[in-house]
Amino acid sequence: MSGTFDGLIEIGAEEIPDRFLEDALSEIRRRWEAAFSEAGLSFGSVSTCGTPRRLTVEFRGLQARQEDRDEKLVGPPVAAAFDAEGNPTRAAEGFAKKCGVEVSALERVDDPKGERVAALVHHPGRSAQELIAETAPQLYATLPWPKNMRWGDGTHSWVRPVHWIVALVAGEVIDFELFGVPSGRTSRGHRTLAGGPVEIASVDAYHEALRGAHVIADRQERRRRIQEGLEREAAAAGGSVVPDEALVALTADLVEWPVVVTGRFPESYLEMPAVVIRTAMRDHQRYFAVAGEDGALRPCFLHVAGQEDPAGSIAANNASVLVARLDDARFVWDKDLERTLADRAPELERVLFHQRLGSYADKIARMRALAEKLAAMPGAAGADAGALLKAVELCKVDQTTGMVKEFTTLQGVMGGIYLRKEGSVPEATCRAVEEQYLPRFQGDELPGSVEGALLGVVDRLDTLVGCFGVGLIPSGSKDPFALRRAAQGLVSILAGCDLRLPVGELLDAASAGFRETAGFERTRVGGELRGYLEDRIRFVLGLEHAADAVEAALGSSWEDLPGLVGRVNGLESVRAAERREDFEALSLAFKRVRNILRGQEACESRPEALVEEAEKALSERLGPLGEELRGFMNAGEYGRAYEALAGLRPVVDRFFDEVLVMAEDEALRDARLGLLQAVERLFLEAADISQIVVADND
Amino acid sequence: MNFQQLILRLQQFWADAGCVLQQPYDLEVGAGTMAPDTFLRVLGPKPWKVCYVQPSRRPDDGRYGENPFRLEKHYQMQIILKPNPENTQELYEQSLRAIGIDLTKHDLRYEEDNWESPTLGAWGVGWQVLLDGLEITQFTYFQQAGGIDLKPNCAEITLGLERLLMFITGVKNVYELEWAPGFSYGDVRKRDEYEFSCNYFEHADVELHRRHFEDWEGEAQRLLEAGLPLAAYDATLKCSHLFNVLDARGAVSVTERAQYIKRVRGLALGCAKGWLALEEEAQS
Repeated sequence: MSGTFDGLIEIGAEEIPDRFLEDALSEIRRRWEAAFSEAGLSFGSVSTCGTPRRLTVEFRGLQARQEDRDEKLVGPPVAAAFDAEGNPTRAAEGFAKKCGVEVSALERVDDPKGERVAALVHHPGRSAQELIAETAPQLYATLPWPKNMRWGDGTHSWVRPVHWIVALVAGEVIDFELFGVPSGRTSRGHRTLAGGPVEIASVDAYHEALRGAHVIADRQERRRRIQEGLEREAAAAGGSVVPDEALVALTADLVEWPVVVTGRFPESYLEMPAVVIRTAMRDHQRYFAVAGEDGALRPCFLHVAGQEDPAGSIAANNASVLVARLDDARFVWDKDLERTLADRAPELERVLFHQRLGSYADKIARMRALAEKLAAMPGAAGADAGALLKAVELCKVDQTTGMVKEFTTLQGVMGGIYLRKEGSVPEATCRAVEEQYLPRFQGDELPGSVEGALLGVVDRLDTLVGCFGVGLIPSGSKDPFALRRAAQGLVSILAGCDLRLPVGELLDAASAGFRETAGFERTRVGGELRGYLEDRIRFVLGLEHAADAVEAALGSSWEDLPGLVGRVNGLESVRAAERREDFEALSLAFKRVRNILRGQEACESRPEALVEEAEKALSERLGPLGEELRGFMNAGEYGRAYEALAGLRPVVDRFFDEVLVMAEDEALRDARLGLLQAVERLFLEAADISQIVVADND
Repeated sequence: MNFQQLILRLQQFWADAGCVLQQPYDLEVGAGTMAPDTFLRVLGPKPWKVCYVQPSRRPDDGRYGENPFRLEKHYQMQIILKPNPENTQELYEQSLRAIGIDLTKHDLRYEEDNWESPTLGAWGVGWQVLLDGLEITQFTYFQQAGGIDLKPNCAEITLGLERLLMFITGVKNVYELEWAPGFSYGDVRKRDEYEFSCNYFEHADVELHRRHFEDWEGEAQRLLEAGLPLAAYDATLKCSHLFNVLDARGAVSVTERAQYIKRVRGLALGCAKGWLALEEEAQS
């Protein structure tokens, strides 16, 4: 061992998109750790930091040199290596040469096939510098970026052109090249504020050297500075910043020297809905909003600039940009209010939903028929059908408004705002339109009204059934129509909003709308789409529940999603309760039942042919147990249903103790198989508990 | 600084940087990218450096001369550096200093923005450049044009001249910018903003535009077959503008829209292929 040292590699590039930074830095760290481990070099830590213009990795306590290693190589048999006089043959000379040793240094070793010659080969350990220089070019060149580009003569492909590399270990430069750029110790500072090149003496001097050139290399430190700046500026403006952690992280990755500045806009713009103002600020300009104690927006914004603003011109110029946007928004807002959404509805004929699935007007027509069927289902009882149908008619019209064209993220929300302002439809309709896109992402809030939930279901069903029906099926990471999100949204709404709408009936009802669509194949809905939905259910429920409980519940039926969730909860509760032991034992017994029955043909249930007490007892218990189970499940008391099921354990155990299913007598065997098939059917009504994973001990 | 001084200084800067000072292309185009000096010249192996001002027509953005920011026609300054030099960003920043922008006092930021034109089968990777929050430049490393991979690659720098001057002068209404001493932007342009908005939204003869689209599409195909990609490209540009007018006029249905775009794209791809073949022939 010859000690350890510290090092650093900074790759300097043109501005790397903020959304790539996090993943790239963790991949760089992972790759270096793997490279050192593979080379047998121990290290204290590998850490990364970076800005839009630099990706930096720091090594601490890196083993300076690999351990030397001796290896014994076995060569030809002694008989072939030496002639009769004991002189080495060409075989021995060749082997010695290959091993880099003198012939005289060859040893003799015993080998199962006889005595052979062997050589002890010494591998001197290589230095960390050597290994880093050798590893770095490939490690960086092959980083997987979401989008690459070519530049200049077109030879290289990377996220952005590379301009400089700092590579130091123990204060010495490690020589390598990346895309023709040689490594050195010269970094660059802030794009416009740094006085000139920045020499890096060592890893310990790195952060301070850059700070002197207006660069904060540490991402966490930039976030902290932004957070502090936001709080300070908001307080000075007489309010508090509207929290937006994602925006803090994003802005921290956009600048190298964050400075929070306050801009102001005329109060009159606050007459527009707050959501419009916040979106105008955030969407393109990435400004933070400030709210007063009453929660209302203040006529100002906070901007994360990339440098100090002593003259206030950066804040003022940003304010002009925002005012121009707000002005445009107000123009659009006034213009939108000139016509009601109902007046605009015919324009949906010109808005394409999908080339193969028609316009939004076509989609609305399908959704209307679907909503009528849904509203008539018992699971939708309690919904205001009139308000829902009105919402279906108007839900997509806001796409023709200037505001949604300008700020697409406000679709739905604007529809609700405009309808409320018009005041000609029930509140339930406004709310449904407003909530139709909820949840917008996994884990987002669900629609709060039943009409909003049903509208969300109708919309997503139409999209999923239509796209799958004409073969637009997502594969791998390719999902241009966001069907994954639609499917997860559908599952989350049905399950989370307690809508007991049978999935099969929903798919059938939605398919009916595509009868005349060219290339629509219903089999894809029953096949691929059902499979896709099942996978999405597995994913969504798996986020909060044990995988085996989800699998067991799915093994019964998932037509009724709130019921499925009830099953999963019931399985988890019975497992956590006193009946756990019985239940787990029963699940093992059920596994046995299913194994026995695998590949067996259906046998008639003939209780009269059963002979043993144990099997008669089981047979007699099935009827009453079935009644009991169904009673609990219909009442939504799944936990009690599984407890009742667990109560069967002694009966089943006794059956397997005393009865040989595969009896010699064919009639008796069939009767016993028939009995087990009845058991299987009954269990599967509740859950496929053979999927339950039973812990080995405790 | 006024509008023409801005143009003169930028032209001087890029001429000094070795660019050909081209004059605006004499057909209606939606952006400087569509002029053959960009779309065709970025193809093939030959180096090319060019700077030109391109009046860019976006019928749908017309506001009858009433909106202080939106115009049916605005002026872009277009710079192509092929292959892009190592110091492309620095050159660009020097050009900003050349028009009097002190970058130590203003916040310059490159934010990811990848340009794409399905109609031209073209895309690139790059940024929108923000100066104190105002987008002043689209900065793109072209990757494909006409569906063809580019080698070498080039940088395209597109400046919105009106915006840039509004930033420099602090004037909040485009029509109040000074174009030349004694003449405002409004004096020079306001009436045509009004008239062309009327035309594109209300008067343009839909049937005539449809018919002319068909005619020029046929012409483009004929010229392509005749081995005249430049001439065919002119016909393609006419088709593109005719479609934009029809679209602004609200005369294009959903399905038609996709079809029109596909037809223009087909022509553009043919022109790119034809031009590249000529370039490669000349090279060999």
